[in-house]
Amino acid sequence: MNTNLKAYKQAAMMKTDYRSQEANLFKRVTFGLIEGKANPDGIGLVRAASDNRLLWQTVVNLLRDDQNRLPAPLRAQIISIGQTVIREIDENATGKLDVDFLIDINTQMIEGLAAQSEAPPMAAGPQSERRGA
Amino acid sequence: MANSVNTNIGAMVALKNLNSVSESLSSTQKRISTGLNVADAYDDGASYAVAEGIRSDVKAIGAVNERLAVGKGMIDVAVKAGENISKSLQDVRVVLTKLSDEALNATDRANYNAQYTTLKEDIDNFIKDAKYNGVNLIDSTTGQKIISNVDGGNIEVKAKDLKTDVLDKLTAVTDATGAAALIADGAGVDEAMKELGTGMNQLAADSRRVTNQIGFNNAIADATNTGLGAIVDADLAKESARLQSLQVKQQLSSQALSIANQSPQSLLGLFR
Repeated sequence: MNTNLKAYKQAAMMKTDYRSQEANLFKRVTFGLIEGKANPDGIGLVRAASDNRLLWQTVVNLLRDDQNRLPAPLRAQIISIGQTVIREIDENATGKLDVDFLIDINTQMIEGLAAQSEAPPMAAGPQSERRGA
Repeated sequence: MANSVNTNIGAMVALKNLNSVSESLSSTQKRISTGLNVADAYDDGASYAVAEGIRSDVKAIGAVNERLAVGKGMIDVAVKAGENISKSLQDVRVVLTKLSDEALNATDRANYNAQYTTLKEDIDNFIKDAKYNGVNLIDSTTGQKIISNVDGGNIEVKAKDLKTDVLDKLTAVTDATGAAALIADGAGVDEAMKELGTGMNQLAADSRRVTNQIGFNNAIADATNTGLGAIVDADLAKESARLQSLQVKQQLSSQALSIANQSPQSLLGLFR
């Protein structure tokens, strides 16, 4: 790749915030599902579904963690949805997978994450410094 | 008698109460801002240590489940490849049946022979393509050990070499007699199907073990975590999930936080 372009891309990557990076991650996985949907008997769809399961398993783990600062009802709701997504993949990955369902759910996540919040970020309290990864 | 501030019992009590109120207020704020009952070691050293232990357990369980999810992907990809191979084997049997006809003219024989070769190439490709996360469970006998619990236990997913056990059973066919021999009871094609069946059964069994282990780990994580248990809907139907995802979109839009706000890299580093 052109080195200038590469540097530009890296700079662009650094500027994007975590929310849009997470949206991009969902986009990548969802694109795999859309591609896989074109050939439902192919192995590509199973791979894409497996990626989607790994993504959602990680999301569920992160939200189950009490250190996550999203509001508890929202966390619970995303976990519930995630479990439904994972169950669909567990039961049907190699059979009649409802790809449209998986794509729909991911699309809502992408749009939710990509939206710019109107509220300014909460002022970091003295405790938030200590609370690392 | 004149009241001095120093000796005014009422004022002193009020002041003391005020102090304790603002102390508990600040600790409530600490709880609210961190979402934790015990925010740091200043709150309650012993509880903090216990809470930290539980937190790291839950984190470890999460990490194990991620590995198991990768394992499940390997198995599902291998199973799908197996299904495709099974379909091809049925086609192979049809083509070999035609080839076993002595009366076949030379042109047709050549065509069917080409079909047979193509089907074998398909099977070869299915085997080679059955990779997930760099692991192929059907191109060698090298199984995969997947960590299954926080104590370092693991599930061994067995691999089966379908190249040797299935593909190599389909030997080259030169004439009708050779084709007939391959589709005879207990011969090449039969043997290949049996071996494929054995492999698929093993994968299905391993898949169930992995799924059960993930469920078991989730149950432990839920029991260890107090906060969310009751408000998570474990049996959400797909249609409700669709509807709820619209609400989630709205609520996510009004947030400044990312999903992985406590450790962004754990999500963003997933597919690197």
